Amino acid sequence: MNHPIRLGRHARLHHTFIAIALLAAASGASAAGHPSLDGVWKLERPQSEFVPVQGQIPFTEDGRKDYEANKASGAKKEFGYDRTQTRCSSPGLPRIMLTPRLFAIHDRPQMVAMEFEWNRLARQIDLRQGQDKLPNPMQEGGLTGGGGAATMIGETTGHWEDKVLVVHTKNLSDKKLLDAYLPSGEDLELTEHIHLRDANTLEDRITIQDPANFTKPWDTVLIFKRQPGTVSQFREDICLERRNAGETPLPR
Amino acid sequence: MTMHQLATKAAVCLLAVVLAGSALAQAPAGAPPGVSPGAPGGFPPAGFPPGGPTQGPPGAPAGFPPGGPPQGPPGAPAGFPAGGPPMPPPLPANAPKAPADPRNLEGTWSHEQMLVFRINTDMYGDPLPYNDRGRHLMDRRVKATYVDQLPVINASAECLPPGQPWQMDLNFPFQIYQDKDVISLLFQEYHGAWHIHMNGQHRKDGKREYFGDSIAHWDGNTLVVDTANYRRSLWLDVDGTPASVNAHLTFRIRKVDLSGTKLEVVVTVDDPWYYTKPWSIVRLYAWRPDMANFSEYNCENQVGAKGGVSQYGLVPEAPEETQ
Repeated sequence: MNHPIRLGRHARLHHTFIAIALLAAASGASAAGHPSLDGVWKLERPQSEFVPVQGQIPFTEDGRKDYEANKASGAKKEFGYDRTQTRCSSPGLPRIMLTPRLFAIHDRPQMVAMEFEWNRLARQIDLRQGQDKLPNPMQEGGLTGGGGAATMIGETTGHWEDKVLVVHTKNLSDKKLLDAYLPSGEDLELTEHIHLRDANTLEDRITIQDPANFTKPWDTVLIFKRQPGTVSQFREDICLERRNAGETPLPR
Repeated sequence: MTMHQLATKAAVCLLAVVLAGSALAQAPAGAPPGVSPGAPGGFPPAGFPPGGPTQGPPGAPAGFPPGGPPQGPPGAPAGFPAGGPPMPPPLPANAPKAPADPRNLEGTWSHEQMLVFRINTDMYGDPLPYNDRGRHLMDRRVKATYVDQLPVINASAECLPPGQPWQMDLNFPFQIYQDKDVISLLFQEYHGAWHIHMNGQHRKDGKREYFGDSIAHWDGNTLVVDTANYRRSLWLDVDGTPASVNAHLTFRIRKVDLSGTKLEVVVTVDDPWYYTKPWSIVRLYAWRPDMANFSEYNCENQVGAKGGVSQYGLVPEAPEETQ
């Protein structure tokens, strides 16, 4: 049975806030003033490798050696260097952004979450600052035995600079690749500038800094197009099943 | 080994299973997911002494000791040591507040009760209403784990989506994102993603998914979710309490305190294949903005290796009867 709700002052204010947020979402803007990134997105053109914005990839000697070795192995269909291809291990960052499948963005004041159709992975961009960033009892030496281990997805924080979401990721594992072939070092750091070129076009400019493999930071740009619908259309993707059926976990 | 030690071992083993995919608990090369590094002889018996029990009480599965399989100390949930597993500290006083709107479920939540290894009773304390088929299957699973020490493979072990009850019972966080058409629950573990379609209809294209097909509506301030069409039968808990692919699971989800910091979920299992009548359990979840950043879960890195999950000592379960 539905009962009429008598709202207190706090609740009325909250409902007012929600109404403002809904209006803002309808107009494509978040309550915080920046354009909302909410929606379902897909890479404009499928690609398995990053292309530098300018010139060539500035490899170090070791970086080029590993890259060429990976290329040579891939040409022979020997993918031992790539656990995403052989095991469906998380591609991590930045490679997950190369998924040819859909992903959704949930843009909230303290967190921007990316929900990928690909093997149901998620990515979080933590926007909390100062006191809002509480110690996580599940990490930082807490219940799961201590944080700090490098991971495929790393630790990501972000903040808004006008209409651009500036994102920084560190603590990334070197047991993965940057894309289908590029090696990844333990000091890899990523800086992304994410913004809407227009209501239906999302740009992610990624700056890759990895002194083990590159002599200087270099930029690549990915373009995503807005897709109709919601996450309702996502298929429950099981990478291991696709791999076992002979499909390629990620395009190469 | 005392019962307390047995129960502690069981809790540690379960925690290891869950953490197997976590970057914080990456097992060394060759170690199976869910197996404590250094455990002798492959998969450690979950809470059972070497050799296992040899006698059972009337009505208990063959091979169980008087009193049945290990249940933990008096007052503790099945399989847990006194005091239970480590639970998170209280939320700091300066933590962000939950949305006051009772229909806004967004935020980070975590199961705040201790994990129940085996659902022996419903929310009213009555034994689960197994039919013969359900009782037989459950006895077989418990015997495999605790007596034969050959646990069978389930979805979780295979790095597949284990379904809502297993996923939500774990003491790990999940986040809710909500709009008028769909509510998404994203879980830290197993890459769990549960999409609840508002005011829709169950799909009729014959496709089935591990998380089933969920439709929902608001009943007052309670979100009522009906889930059907599972792709694979569910383990509702760690010991294997079953639900068939054609079960209907209803989740009644609501905030239950004035500050909006508690989420109650009543799960009703309607599954004539294994039970004589529907039954329900209740769980409570805490508002945990301090757990908003998830730890990585990458079980494929281990389970996806050559040999799959079988290399870890788990065995395929005998096929269930088909419906």
